[in-house]
Amino acid sequence: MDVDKPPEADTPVARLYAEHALGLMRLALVMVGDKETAEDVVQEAFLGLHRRYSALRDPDKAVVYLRSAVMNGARTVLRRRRLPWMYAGAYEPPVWSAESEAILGDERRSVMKALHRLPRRQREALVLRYYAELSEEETAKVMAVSRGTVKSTTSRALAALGRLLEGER
Amino acid sequence: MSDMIDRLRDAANAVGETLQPRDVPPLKLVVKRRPRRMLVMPIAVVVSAAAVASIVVATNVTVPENSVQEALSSQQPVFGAMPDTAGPRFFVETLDKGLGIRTADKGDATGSVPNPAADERFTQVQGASDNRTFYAVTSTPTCESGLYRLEVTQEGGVGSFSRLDLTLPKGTAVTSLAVSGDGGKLAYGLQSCQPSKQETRLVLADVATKSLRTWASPTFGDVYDVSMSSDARWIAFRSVPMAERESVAVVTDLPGQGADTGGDSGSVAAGQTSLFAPQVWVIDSSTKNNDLSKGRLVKLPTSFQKISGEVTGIRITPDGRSFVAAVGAAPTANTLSQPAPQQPKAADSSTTPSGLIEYSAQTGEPRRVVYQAPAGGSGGWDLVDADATGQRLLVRRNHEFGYVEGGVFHPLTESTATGIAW
Repeated sequence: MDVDKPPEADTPVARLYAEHALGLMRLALVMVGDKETAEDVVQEAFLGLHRRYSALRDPDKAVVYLRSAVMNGARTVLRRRRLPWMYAGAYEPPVWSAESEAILGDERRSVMKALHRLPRRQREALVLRYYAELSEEETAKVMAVSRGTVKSTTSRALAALGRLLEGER
Repeated sequence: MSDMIDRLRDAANAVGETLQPRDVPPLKLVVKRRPRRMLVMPIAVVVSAAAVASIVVATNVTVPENSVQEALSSQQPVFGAMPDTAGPRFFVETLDKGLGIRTADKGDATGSVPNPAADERFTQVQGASDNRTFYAVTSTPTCESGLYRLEVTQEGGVGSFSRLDLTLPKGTAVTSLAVSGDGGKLAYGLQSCQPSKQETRLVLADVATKSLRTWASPTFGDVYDVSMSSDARWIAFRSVPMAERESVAVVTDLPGQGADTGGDSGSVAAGQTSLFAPQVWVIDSSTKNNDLSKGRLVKLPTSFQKISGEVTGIRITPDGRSFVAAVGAAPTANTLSQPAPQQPKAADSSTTPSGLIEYSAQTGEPRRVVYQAPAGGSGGWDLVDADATGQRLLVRRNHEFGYVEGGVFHPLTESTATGIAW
């Protein structure tokens, strides 16, 4: 498959993009905070799918693959931001930050800041369950953990989120 | 609980809805990232940064700002630093304005070095075992890196400060730094600043002879958490495999690719190797191998006695026989990379017991719990340095620094430093 060739509009990947790109970009945005990076993460997820599509035995799994790739991509971005200065200033401030032009309100800013103070696994579980509205089973597939782990992680994450927000009062 | 879910949904939906259908670009199936702002910089700034050659200021407590622009030094460093057996008296931190020197007991400021240039800032610092010889890394927005040597006086002032005559490849950033016990050798990771360019290297530099030894691998991602034994024979580091750097999830129903997760056919294994993955590579610098991937991979159990979680920081001990790792809740990326808001003490995001575990460097078997955080205490500690004996371990959580010795945690100070060492 020629990855440099522009995709035909009626290819499966292009159809998936038309259907899911916005939702996946929003998911990435909630995870990484800025639109430019969210766009990159989603484009790379589709590129990965494009490379592997012909080998995919079950095309129904393509959306699961994309969600996983987006979460992996977001994780990579957040990890890279840990490297001091290497990527300093390379990203816009999160849309929930005070510096952002997005108008969210204090309550929503507080919730998003608290969400991003949770451990990575807890944050991902909450976003997949309650933002992406995935079932426990779907979340488990995306996170490559058991359904029970999703349940317990989500429960702990909600409690921790509540404590964080309570502590801000 | 449902109120919490409602608040979360409301906030996340509001964030998501800042993106509208018009914001979705056409599908581009070509690896071509947009240039980041970090890669755009006036040439004059590059020239000015490169013009800073070396600075030595004898006995001054603080290096004046303007003196950084003066190339002063031809003083040769002397190696063979003796360990400070009384324990560290000072630590050096990388601040927005430059390097700060503070006493290790009370955190009193005793000296400072300003950033070498307006756009060249210190990002990392590590010390030799004498607690007086320190090396620092600088970086510019155009991805120029510099290595500097700082000698601290007995009073905590700046004895000398100079730029090392070690050339770092243009367009690469130093991702992690380690210093040998005598201060004569440096080990550092190098990574291309272009996200699409994979050039991961680990370098062992002899400061006196300026000889460089490089290990490279096309399959390795960023090298981080570099540490080395006192004699510079054993170099330990962590790295994220290329597969995850490219954000490629592993789909187990693709023939011949990825790992079998043991789950349902067709399930997706999200990246199992993360920044906090319990894997560490060890290089024996006494061998002739120059391939990073030929290093010894040691996988560490992340559950031992009552401690479990992710590995948030790891160092090889001065004798090269053990690792000490911080295990527990991982600090979130934004608290590591950005000035974090003050965290309320009562707001503990983790109930997982965390602490420090010592492992065999040969097998990865846990040997003992070095420190266990009190039950219900906050996790998220990162192991950032150890003293000459390897017994006094410097840890941080967001802006809070402390050290562990003899199984007891001692709070040190709060600092906005991005790097800290003793």
